[in-house]
Amino acid sequence: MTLRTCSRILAGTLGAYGLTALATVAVSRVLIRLGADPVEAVTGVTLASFALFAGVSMTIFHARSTARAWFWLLALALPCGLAVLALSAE
Amino acid sequence: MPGAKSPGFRQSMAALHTWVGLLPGWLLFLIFLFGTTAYFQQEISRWMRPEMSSGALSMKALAAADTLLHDRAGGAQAWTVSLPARGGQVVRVSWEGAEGEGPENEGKATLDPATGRDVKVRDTQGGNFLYRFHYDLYAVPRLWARSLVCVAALAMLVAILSGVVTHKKIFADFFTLRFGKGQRSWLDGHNATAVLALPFHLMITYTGLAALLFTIMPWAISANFPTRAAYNDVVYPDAPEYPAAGRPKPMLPLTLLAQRAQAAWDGGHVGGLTITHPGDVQATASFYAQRDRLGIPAPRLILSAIDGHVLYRAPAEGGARAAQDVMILLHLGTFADTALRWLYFVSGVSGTAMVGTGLVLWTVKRRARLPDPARPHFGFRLVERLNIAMIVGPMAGIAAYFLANRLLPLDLAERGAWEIDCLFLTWGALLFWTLLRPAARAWIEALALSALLYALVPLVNALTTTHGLAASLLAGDWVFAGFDFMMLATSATLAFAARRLATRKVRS
Repeated sequence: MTLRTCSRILAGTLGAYGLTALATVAVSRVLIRLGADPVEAVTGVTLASFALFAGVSMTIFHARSTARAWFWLLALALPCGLAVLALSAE
Repeated sequence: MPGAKSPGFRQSMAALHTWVGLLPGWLLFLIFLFGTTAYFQQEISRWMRPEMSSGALSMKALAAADTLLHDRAGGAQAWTVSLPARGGQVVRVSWEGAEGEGPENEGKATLDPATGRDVKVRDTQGGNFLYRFHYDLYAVPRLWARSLVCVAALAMLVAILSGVVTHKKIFADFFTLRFGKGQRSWLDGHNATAVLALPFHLMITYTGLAALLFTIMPWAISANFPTRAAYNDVVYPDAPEYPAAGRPKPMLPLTLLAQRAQAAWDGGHVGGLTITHPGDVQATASFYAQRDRLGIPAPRLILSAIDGHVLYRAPAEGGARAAQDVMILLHLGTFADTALRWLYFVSGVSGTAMVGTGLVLWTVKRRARLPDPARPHFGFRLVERLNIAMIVGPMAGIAAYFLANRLLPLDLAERGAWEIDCLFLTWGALLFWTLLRPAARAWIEALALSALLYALVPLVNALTTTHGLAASLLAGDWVFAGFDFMMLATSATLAFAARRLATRKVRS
């Protein structure tokens, strides 16, 4: 197995999981800040997270190059991470 | 997606489908196989406790529980009665003393659902063990087991979606089932079983993930609640407590209290109840509902056990929690009537077959591509043997589990645990055997042995109980007759598979 294949698999599994987890946290925080009930926000966002993971994972395995896959993974993780930091509970 | 229609997309999805299919495939096969039996777990439990009468649940059982508790548990702090969802299941009664008290105020009993008679049933975990195994596995710490199951389910979700993309002519493929054509037949079989119940596979995978919601995706809780317990406290708020007043007063009969609860739920059925401080003027009856209707579950209810008025009703849940509950109900199928439960079962069988054929296809496809197909390398041989042990092994184990239920001595200590041991001993022995034998022979022998074990179940049942197939048919007992027929059908299917493999061997 080439290094590139390993990198692609890593991006499509753990990378996709990381982005999904980060997006789940970010969206739940935004919803709660907008006034949503915390239990509802946490439950609803987590219910949707599995579909998000499947979409991200398939997109990464289909990406034209592994470098592009990583680039988009990080590009999407950045705003999620910033949102999490900006809305962190004091 | 720009390249969505180019061949590159389908190729990348095909590779993805193959790999996310194989790695968790064995675990998925187990989840599907054992999960499928769970649609008839009450019937399996019924068959495994032949001492019970087959009657439907009647209010007599609850009245008998009431009498028994008054007679034997007057000094207890709490009484609990759990009612079965369907006939032929035990009514469980238990009582316990105040915290810190000795065992003198503790006890339990099992009652017949129709007559309310206190019955002594054999020690068995029944169909419940097969159901629990499909997500808690066995002898693995629960969090590990559930995490593995969730990862497999997530892989399944990706496998299904990429599988759909891979088969461009998905409906044309469905109508193509060519037997006796080697790899092509396995692929046809895999496609047919996958497409047949595709909506079921997607539904069951996603709702399964929803049932174990925060197992591998706990981050939204971590980010917004101090602990998991803090989240649970909000979701399941503590009901108010009603301390004992120390003045005795006679309570309403349990049957009447159950009717009040049903009326408060607009007809929802009682699944169980707990009486706190029985016989006290402050005695309460806490009810939970049977999950036998599709929709938002009826809320927990606390009534005064003295006059039956509603003291507390759990608050209604929000949209997301309700959605999760409905997804879990769709997964469990507890609301389904007999016809729908058969549909669930058949879809589950098709899912099991889809994973099984997919696993076989993986080796068949690779054997053709090997540099020397007659002498495959170690990794290939290992996958091939594990396929046999993980596909046929658990099926043989389940048959052994049923046989052990009939053959183990009734007074054996830890009898229920021994039945489970028999399942895994048989499975382990089969694994050992397949490692010693040539793969082609091992398939035939494992399938033939399993066919024999399943054929023995109705025979042993007829010899050890009064519920033999002929007697069940005469009595119109469809649970027992249906169980025996299912064993014979499984046996015939396995024997057919063994025979086909054996004759193919002769031809080549």
